[in-house]
Amino acid sequence: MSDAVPDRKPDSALSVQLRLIVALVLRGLVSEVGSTWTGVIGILVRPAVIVLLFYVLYSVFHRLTPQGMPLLGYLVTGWLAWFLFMRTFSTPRGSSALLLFPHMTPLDLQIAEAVLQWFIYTFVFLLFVGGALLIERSAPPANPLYVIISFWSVAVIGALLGLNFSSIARVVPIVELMRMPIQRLGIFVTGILVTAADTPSSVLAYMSWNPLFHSIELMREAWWPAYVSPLADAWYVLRCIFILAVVGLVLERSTRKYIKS
Amino acid sequence: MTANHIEMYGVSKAFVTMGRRHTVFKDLDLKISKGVNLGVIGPNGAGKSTLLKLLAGAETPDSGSVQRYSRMSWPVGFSGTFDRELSGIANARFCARIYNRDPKEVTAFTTDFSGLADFMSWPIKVYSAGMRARFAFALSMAIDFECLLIDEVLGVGDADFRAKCATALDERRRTSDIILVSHNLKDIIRLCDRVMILGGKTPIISDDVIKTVKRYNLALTGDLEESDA
Repeated sequence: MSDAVPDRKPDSALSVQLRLIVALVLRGLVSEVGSTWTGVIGILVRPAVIVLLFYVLYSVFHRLTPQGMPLLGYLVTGWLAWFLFMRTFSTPRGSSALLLFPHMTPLDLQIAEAVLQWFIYTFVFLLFVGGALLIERSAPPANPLYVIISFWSVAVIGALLGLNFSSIARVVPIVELMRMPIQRLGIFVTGILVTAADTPSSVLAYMSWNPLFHSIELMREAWWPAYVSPLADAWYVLRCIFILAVVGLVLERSTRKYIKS
Repeated sequence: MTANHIEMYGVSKAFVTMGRRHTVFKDLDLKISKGVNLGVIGPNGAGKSTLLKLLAGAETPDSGSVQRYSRMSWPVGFSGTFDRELSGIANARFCARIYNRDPKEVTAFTTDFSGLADFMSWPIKVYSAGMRARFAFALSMAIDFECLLIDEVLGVGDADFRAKCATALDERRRTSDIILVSHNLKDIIRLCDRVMILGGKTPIISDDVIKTVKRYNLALTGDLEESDA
C-alpha cells in the first residue's frame, strides 16, 4: 500500500485561510459551472430572461428611460447588480458539515461564497455590458473603472449583510426566513425599476437609506455623465460597508458557540 | 511546542431540546497527549459525538476554550463533507487543497485504496452507501494527519475492504495518534492505550484500558464474558 501524501510545508494562519478560500471557490466554481459547461448557460439564462422581459415590457409600453439612457444598459446596471446582491447575500453553499474540517470556519465559507459570486457575476456583467453596447450601438461607459467598482460594492454589501444575517440566525433561527422577503422587497427600493431622478422626493427620502440604491446610482452616473443622480453618495456606501463589516465580524465571532453541526 | 494534541480548559456545552436544557459538559478540563491513542466510550447521549465535534472545531463551547496544536483529521470515513454533485476526483482534489497536499497524489492514493477507479469521475450522489464509505475512508487515509479523529467507522465495506482498512489504520498508527469514539469495545481495546468514559458527572480517564473497559461493560450490561472477548 502506498504511503499517505506528505505535508508540503507549515503555513501561517493567513495562508491557511487563503488556501481554504481558494479551495472552496474552486469547488464552488466546478459545482456551478459543471463538467460539461451546461452550468454556464444556467448562470446566464436567468438574468438574460429578466433583462429581456423588461426590455420587451418597456418597449411595448413606450416607457422612456431617464436622461436618455440606453434601455438595455439601464436594465443591465440595475438587474445584474441585483442578481449579484442576491447571490452574495444568500446562505453560503456547503452545509455546516464542512466545519468538520478542523481549520474551516463559518467566516471562510461566507468569504468564499462572496468571492465565487463576485467572480461569476463580474464575468456575467461584463458579458451583458458588451452585449448591450453592441446591440444598442451606444457609447461605452464614461468611467469604466468607477462603474465596475460601484458594481463590486454591491457584492461587498451583500456578503456583509449575509454575514450579519447568518450570525444572528444562529441565535434566532427565524431570522433566516427573512432573507427571501428582503430579496423580494428590495427589488422595489433599490433603483432597479426606477432611477432616483424619477422617484418622487417624498419617497426618495425613505429610499435613500438603502446603500444598494446608492451603488446602482453611482454606476449609472459613471456610465452616463449626463445623468446626475440626486442620491448617489460614495461616502455613504463606504460608511455602510464599514459598519456592516465591524458589526458582522463581531457578531460572527460571538455567535459561533451557537452553531449546531 | 506543547506535548499535547489538544487542550480543553473549562469547557461547558449544553443543548436545549424540547424546551429542556441538557448539559453535556460542565467545566471540562482535558489534555490529549501526543503519543497516546485515546478511546472514548459511554452510553448514548453521553456526549461522545459532541466531544468529537468540539475537538474537530465543528462546534464551539458555550464557555471555555479548545486549543489544537496538531494537524487533525476530519472524522475518518465521514462522507457528509462531500459535495454530492461533484465527482470523486473533484472531492478528493478539494480535500487535498485544503490540507495543502498535491491534488494528483491524493486523488491517485484514494483511487488506488478505494478500488473505485472506474467510478472516480462519477458524481458522489450516484455512489452506493458502500462506495461512499470506501471513498471516504480512502480519502481519510490519503493525508498524513498527526491525529486522526474516528467516529465508529471501522467496519465499512466488505470483508476484504474491512481488512484493508484495519491494516491501513495499524500502519497509520505508527505515525499518527488516534482519538476513537466507539461503542465497539473490542476496537477500543485493540487500538487505544488510554480510555475515557463519558456519562458520569466527570469523565473517567484510565491507562488500564482492558480493566476499565471490562468494568464499564459489566456496569452497562452485566456481561463480563462479552468484555473478555
